Amino acid sequence: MTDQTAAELITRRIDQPLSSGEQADLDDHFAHCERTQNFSELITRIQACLEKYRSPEGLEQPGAGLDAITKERLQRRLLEVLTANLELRQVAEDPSTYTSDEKDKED
Amino acid sequence: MDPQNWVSRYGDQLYNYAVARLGNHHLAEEVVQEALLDAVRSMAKFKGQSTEKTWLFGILKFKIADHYRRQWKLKRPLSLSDEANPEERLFDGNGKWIEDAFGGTLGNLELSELWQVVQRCLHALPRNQACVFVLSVLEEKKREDICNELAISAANLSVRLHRARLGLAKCVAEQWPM
Repeated sequence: MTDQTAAELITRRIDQPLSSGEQADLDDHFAHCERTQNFSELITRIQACLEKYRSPEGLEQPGAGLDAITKERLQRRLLEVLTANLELRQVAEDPSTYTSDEKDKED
Repeated sequence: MDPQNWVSRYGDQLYNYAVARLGNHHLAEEVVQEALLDAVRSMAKFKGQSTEKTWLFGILKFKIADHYRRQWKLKRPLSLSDEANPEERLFDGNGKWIEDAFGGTLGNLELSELWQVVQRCLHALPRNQACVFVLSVLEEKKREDICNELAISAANLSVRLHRARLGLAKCVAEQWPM
């Protein structure tokens, strides 16, 4: 088995189990190829890292977070849409509120 | 539902989640904003079957997947033979590791530090490989769904995922000498 084929098996086995023959061939290859062992260990560590951090329900996502200015802008925009939505709902429930508002604006 | 406090309560988590998948701060901000605004507009549809946080993340996940779907369709993907193939930089003509590939043993790595390196390397991958990797590995979408959405075969997806993993490992190894 070449190193290239071993690498293919190593990445494939993350998503689907290898056949017993493929696994045995890979184990044989590991026995005499340190680079392939190193590659396999790195792939395993990367996969563990991805599994740990990919879920929003798992650990808090490490990272810088939003900066204060963006947060403020986002908050303002959210409140604008929230207010507009509430007004629309109010109008839907009581159409007279729309008429009176419009009259106020016209006056 | 407490939309007035969404930004302070979940803003950082939503943003960090998005930037890890999109690799671009402005794009991540944009997608988080879109997700929160969509959430406000569709609050009436929230049935309370999940937590507020899970619901918001669900909307964000949809937005991220949608971004990748649109990008894939907008920019015609390269064929597999034209796409950058990390195998060419890792193996010689006989399928042997080239001299400097994975030659040393791994040192101790903090998982949180590794995560920062992985994110940088993920977004240095060719666009098509990053796309299938994010959808499959980070978003955990089913392979059949990815193939249907991107109109690619299962074999094509497997090759791109393999190349993405190889490219990622090569980049991580280079940034974190063994």
